[in-house]
Amino acid sequence: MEISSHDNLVNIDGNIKSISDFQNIKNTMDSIAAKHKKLVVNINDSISITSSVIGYFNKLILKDNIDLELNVASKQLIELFDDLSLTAAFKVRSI
Amino acid sequence: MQQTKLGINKKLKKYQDKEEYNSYQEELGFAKELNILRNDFYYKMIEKDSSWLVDFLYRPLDIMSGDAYTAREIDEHRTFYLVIDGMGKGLSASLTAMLMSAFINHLIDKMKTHDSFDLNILIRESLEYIQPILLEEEALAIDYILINNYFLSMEYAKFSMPAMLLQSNNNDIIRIKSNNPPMNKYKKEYVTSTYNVSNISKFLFYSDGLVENETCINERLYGDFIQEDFANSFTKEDLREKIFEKIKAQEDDLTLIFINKLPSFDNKAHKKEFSSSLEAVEDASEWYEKKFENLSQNSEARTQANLVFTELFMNAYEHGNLGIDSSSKNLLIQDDKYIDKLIELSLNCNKKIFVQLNIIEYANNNYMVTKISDEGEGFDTQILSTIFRNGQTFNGRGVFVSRKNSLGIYYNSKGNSVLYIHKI
Repeated sequence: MEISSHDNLVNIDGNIKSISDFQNIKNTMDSIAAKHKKLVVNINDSISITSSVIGYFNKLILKDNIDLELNVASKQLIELFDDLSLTAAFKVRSI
Repeated sequence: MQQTKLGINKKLKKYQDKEEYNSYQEELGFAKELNILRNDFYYKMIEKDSSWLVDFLYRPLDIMSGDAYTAREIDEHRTFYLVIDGMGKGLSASLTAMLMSAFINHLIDKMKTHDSFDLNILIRESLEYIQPILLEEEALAIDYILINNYFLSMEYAKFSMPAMLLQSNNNDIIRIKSNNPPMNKYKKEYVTSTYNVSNISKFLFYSDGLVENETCINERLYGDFIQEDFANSFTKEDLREKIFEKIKAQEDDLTLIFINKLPSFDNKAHKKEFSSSLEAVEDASEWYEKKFENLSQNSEARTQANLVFTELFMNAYEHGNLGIDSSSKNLLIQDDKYIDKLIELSLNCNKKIFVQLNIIEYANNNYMVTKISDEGEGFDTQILSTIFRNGQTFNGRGVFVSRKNSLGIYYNSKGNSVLYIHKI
């Protein structure tokens, strides 16, 4: 997995599957969330997401009051968010 | 040199002791885990208007599992199922899953005592319990499912668990998605939903470790195959075989609950009754072997089925109708008086043993369903959980062997009738 960012936009390429992926996402997004109240995350390839990342996104939204949007390329991942009742909570959109 | 050698030996002993200690602690930890998971349907069928086979797969990746499940009989009409998947892996996930499971089961016990089970209260109280314990970024995936066999309805609250699968009587597969995001420290609101299950003959509830595991088929995830495998599986063992044919290596805790309605036995069932005697045990084995030979050319299935029949028929005879318990049996064997005792008790026993064979066709396969019923007092199948945890015990080896050599064994609620299945 590779992660890059510019202002409040985060790009994630590759599959999100390991603890270190979660740590990279958290480190990147924590520093952006300190400066921006709205974050947009482009998940460009990943067909999966770990529960740690789900938990982290939940915390950003519910505790830190961050306006989070996810733009997701993979149909499989979009279906997963739908199955887990997260589409509305994470403002998931298809790209 | 001598001192160095002594020093090394001392260190080695210290490591050995530590390893033994750790191993012992892991054993205790796992035993505690199994105590926390409550299962009222351990090797039991649910028998209402139809017979339902309820089966479980629980395979933690490590000793301390981040998954937990529960299956409870609330009353004669309602059964409750719970599947929990703690976030991440390791001790934190396991603690959450186990704490939540223990609390929910405690609540259910209290509600049952006062005949006051209420799904909403259960969810609300358990959410209130776990929220202070959850870490800031922790998410808890959990299924609460209540099936009412009288009103033929399923009430559920799914918190970011994978879609449950239902199969209708027309063989359509229905996916029921989560109706809540994961439990977390912050949100108190949730919804429950209801689904009419009058036309449903099969259910599958499972944690995401199953569908997110990589397979050996072009590295695809098992989620790509689960619907088809579920549709083509008659029992949990059927499904388990299909899963482990495809999965390369287990990557997470695996938990599933598989519930299947048994088709009613038709008039073509082969039936016979036997008396309670040693001669009858021999006659029954011969009869069964001949019947099986006529019905199936599958020699492996025949060998396994004969083995299972011998074990379970013998159980029906000695433990069921003659009423010999396991400790008495052990003593009699030690004193070399066992056979004499069997003969003595048989002389005064008029109880019968009933055997029924049926062939069921399912998803282009044929299955032999054998049922052995005695007229004894039955037993509590919960004791089997102790036996199966420790394959070294003398008692219950027959049931242990039967489980290994069939696609599943299932007792009625009284424990005096057992059904087992083979693919032929």
